[in-house]
Amino acid sequence: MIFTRLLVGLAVIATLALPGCTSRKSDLTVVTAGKLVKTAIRPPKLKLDPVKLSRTAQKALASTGPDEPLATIQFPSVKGQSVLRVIETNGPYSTWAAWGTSDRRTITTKNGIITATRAIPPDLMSADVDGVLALVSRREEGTVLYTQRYLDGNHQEIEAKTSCVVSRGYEQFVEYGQISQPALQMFSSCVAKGRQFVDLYLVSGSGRILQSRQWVGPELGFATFQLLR
Amino acid sequence: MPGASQADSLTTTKTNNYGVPSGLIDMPTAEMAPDSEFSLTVSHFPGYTKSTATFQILPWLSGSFRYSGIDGLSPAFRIYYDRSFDVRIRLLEETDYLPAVAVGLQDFLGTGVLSGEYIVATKQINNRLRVTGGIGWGRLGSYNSFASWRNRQPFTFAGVGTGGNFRFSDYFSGRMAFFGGLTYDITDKISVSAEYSSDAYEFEERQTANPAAAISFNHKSPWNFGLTYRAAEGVDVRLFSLAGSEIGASVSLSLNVKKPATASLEQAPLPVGLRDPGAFKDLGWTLDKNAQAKSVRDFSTLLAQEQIELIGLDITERSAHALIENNIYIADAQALGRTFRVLSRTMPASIETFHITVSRNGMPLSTTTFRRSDLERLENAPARDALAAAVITDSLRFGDVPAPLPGYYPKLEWKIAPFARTYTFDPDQPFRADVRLRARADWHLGKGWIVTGASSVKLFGNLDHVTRPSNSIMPHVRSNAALYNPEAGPTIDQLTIAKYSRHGPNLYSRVTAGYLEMMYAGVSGEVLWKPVDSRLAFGAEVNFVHPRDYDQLFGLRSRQTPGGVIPQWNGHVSAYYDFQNGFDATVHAGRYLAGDWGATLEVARSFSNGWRFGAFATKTNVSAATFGEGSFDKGIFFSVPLTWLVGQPTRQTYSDTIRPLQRDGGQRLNVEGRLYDVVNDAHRPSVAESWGKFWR
Repeated sequence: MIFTRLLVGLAVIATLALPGCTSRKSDLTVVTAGKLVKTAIRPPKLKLDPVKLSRTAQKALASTGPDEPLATIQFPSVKGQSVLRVIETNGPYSTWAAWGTSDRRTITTKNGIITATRAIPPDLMSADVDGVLALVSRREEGTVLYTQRYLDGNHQEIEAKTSCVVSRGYEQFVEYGQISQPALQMFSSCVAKGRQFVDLYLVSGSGRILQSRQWVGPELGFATFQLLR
Repeated sequence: MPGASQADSLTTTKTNNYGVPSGLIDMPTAEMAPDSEFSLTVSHFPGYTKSTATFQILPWLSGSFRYSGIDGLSPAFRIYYDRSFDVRIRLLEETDYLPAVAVGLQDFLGTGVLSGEYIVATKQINNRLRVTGGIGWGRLGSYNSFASWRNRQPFTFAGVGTGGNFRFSDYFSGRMAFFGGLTYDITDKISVSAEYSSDAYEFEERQTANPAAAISFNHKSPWNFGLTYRAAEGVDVRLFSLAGSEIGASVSLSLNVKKPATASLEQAPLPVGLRDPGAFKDLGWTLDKNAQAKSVRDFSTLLAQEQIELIGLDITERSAHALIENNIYIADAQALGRTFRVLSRTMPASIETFHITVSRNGMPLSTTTFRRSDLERLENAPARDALAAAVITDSLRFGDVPAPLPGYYPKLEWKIAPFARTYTFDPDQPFRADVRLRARADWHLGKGWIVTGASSVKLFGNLDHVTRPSNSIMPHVRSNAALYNPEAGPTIDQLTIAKYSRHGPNLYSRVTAGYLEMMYAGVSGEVLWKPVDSRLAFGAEVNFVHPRDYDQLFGLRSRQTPGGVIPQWNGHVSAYYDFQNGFDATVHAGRYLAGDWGATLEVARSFSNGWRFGAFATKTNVSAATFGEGSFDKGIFFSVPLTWLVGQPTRQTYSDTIRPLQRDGGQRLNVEGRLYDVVNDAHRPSVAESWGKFWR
């Protein structure tokens, strides 16, 4: 198990390398290492709690301006959930971080499709989503190339190229936060060596992706991303 | 796995009794561990213990270092301890119809009590069954041999001599015999293996018959059986029966250097700040002192949040230049990426060009330039696009490096940390250690000037039990460790003043004076030539030294030792080369501490994430007889980045060198802050290798 290694490693480094105290704030000390061991042995209990999420969402909707973008994200595999706000935009890209906290984790989307994550391992560094985005937002069917890039444990960017078949599903009414409008299900079935996943997008008549369930990466699996307004 | 690709087929994380990749018990296979896998195996059956470290150097090459103890093998020792090295090379990869074929040397250097060579083939029959057959020589050709060619010196204690040398004429010589076996995975966690062993344990049996030796070994059968259980990821436990007479067990711990033990806990970087296009031409801020001060203040606040040290900052109408020191991220590329983004969020919109100079020990090492609009454009593109847009120049060629902020110098840094001092492979007890507590202070007086003091006291340990006197007939430059080690202290581990300087493009220099290391005081001077984008570097070092008193306080001792006079002057010229594929090589040639002349070759595999494994050998103009046991100086070295273990960003790294024997020939001074290590990380080849971290 991963944490057996962590323990063996920490036992060694605690006696061999870590300072007890230091003037340099960035240095790890015996104390910080001890805290890490504690979290490794007893990871904080996380759970997906839709009630809590919706309560936070209501609070966020009430306390922000009507034009400020808000969304929720859920990662079922790691039991993570957050209400998100946009902290920066760069052309069609928006970078989101948790609303109401100083949590330094971010997700970047391009018109509703997740193109990057930071501090949510494995790091999705960037993605080429234009093909999928074009079909999905026009609510058209077709076959496109979809590329996701990850950072491996040796600082190398690994490119995962996938071929995806985009197809139309049924009409579905979306009611979430302040959104209340009809949408069309758009499926994107992607297959590559060693990977296979089906993403689902709910697209409004104007081509806006209101909700989605997207495969973000190995280990992390799927994310559910839902706009609140 | 059905349909698993052939390219990575026939790898195993199991190891045999010799600690080398193999699903069998005592016999080798043609299997390899996954690339860059590191394993530690301890195997034991009554009277016999072997501890082995193995590294998969390349997908087709593995190397092992082993320390074994055999009870009563020799009348001279209660336990006969022996060090040995193995290599295995895969000649042919497995195909649909043909097996993988490998050739290996076991205990090929040194006394050779375990020595044997083999050619072996292994084929995966289905997802669960692997079959192995091979021909062995030496130990592996001793049972039921079918032929013999050339002559092989049998192992005897009389023939040991100084050991430590290659025995080219013995490899693949003498009797040869067949061996084979199979491994079957019952479940993902449990597997069984059976083998026909070609090792007759002849020497053990002969010594069993020798009344003076205490060993007792009885070879009854060539059949060995094993049961392996995968207790956890990276932990294998095995029970086995050997030679029809022994029952034993082994434990193997493995990890892969490319897969961090803990997922990264680094915080997300700040996104690139976008400018309002209308503001590009607004130079109003240049007249507004408050606006300028705010930019500088915001920049230093955000940079401090990234834990990157700001030394200086110059801002002009169209460009900003930050001088930083990265004490947090293994990859300078990551520090650059974060600093550029902080610049983008804090600098006035009219500034279009960003420069960042990375500094260490007061020396500007490289200056990276990025156009701000490229930063904005490439944030969501592949990392390689940003690398293509970055320009990395030698800071001295670039010119105008920002001056240190007022009040930056003098800067005092200190820490108090425990550390271990070890004494290994003593035949009386193979491992002894002291844990000591060290206080250290680095006082940065000005650009490149560093005063360092370090003092330690012993907390607990047994190094004072080391009684082995030096029998060296060379000047005792290192072999008196037993006289230095037991000092409880406080001892002065280091007390130096150092000056690091740059005299022109590509040139670096260091002068260090004082109590340089545990055993020597003196003056050390070094120059390094290294262009910023070059994989090649040259250096030269000259040292004037005097041996320190054993109590490691201020006194010096006589240079006269039982083996001769320790010369005052030593030094080397060095060449460093970084092969683009993760390997690097270094050659040092010159005069060593004992006055012997020669050269050291170091070869290492360095990973971008901070891991490093390497081996070195030094041959000088002293004969094997003068050098003593081991014949010449050699060993392995490694570095473990702590961030790999704990996930938190830190440049702290644990490094060590393991020598089978510490003698006096081929020894260099241990001076801190050698230039190549200070400079290399900030230069283009290293920065580019870790460029994946730029946007992280």
